[in-house]
Amino acid sequence: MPYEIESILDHHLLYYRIHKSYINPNLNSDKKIIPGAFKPKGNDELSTDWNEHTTPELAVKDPNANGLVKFLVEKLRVPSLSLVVEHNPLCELLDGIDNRAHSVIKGLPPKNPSKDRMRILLRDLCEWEIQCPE
Amino acid sequence: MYTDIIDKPTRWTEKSTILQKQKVSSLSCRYLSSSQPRGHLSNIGESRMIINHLDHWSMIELPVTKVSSEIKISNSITVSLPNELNYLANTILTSKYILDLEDNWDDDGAEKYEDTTLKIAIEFLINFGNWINHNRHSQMYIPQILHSSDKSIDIFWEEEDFRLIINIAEIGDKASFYWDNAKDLSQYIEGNFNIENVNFMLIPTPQKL
Repeated sequence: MPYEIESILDHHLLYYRIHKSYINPNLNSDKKIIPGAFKPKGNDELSTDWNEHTTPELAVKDPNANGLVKFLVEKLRVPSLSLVVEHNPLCELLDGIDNRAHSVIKGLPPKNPSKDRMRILLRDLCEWEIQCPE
Repeated sequence: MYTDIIDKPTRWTEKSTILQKQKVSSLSCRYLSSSQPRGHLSNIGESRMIINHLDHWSMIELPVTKVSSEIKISNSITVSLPNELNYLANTILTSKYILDLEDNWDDDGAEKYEDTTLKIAIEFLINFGNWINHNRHSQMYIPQILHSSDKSIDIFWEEEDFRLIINIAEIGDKASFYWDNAKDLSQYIEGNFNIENVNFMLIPTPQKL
């Protein structure tokens, strides 16, 4: 049975995995995440996991290869970004994978230069939940 | 028009039938072809040549250093870096890591990079640095050359009071940029351009004041 689609509230968190290949210690920022880490699936969606139905330990999948950042939904929903946050649960039968926490950040610009801007802004908005392995 | 590079004094002597050399102090200098207007003063890096109004052209060679150095990025990529941009050598050399990324480097199906994309990115950076050097008489801040999504490459400046990202697409000569003031993001600018005929005046310049 497909999962019910639920409402994500502003104070909730979305987790996004960062593969260790997207870390560059030479960067000036504290996070050390390169802008290319934020890549939409398909045209305009960033695939994330909602903290209501997962934990950081589950969402990171492989802690030897990935770190995990979190987004406060309220910050994603500021009008100037024009982003939409939606619950998008996946079920084994329909999607080939079971993930009730799966959620998407929609409305990412599909083309440059606005895509460049969004990558930088998403990098600004996230915070580390689980640091990437060295 | 410069027609050749003379790398040995002996070759210079051979060419002296068309040019009278008054002083040779270096193993490396350029000579001028007969199409060069007389009286022309030319600067190439630190080497300086003057053609006098004489029956025979003559050349005064001031202290000469190598005009540029070659940086080998891979077996198929070597770039020429002018001496005045030596401060970019390290960031260019560091970018070689991009070519070491194998298929599936992100455990999510990312593909290996083409040499050409990196070469275009590096050459763009050198051209940009040259333009700033000659038109703004300044150096640029040192960026990072980074892998990105869709096999494109980011040239990324991140300083206290600005951020600039220039994205070089994998295919063709398409590129884009985004610049902001880093602090409150109250100011930003973005745009697209073609690398082949870029007008650097329309790109925010990451120059040191």
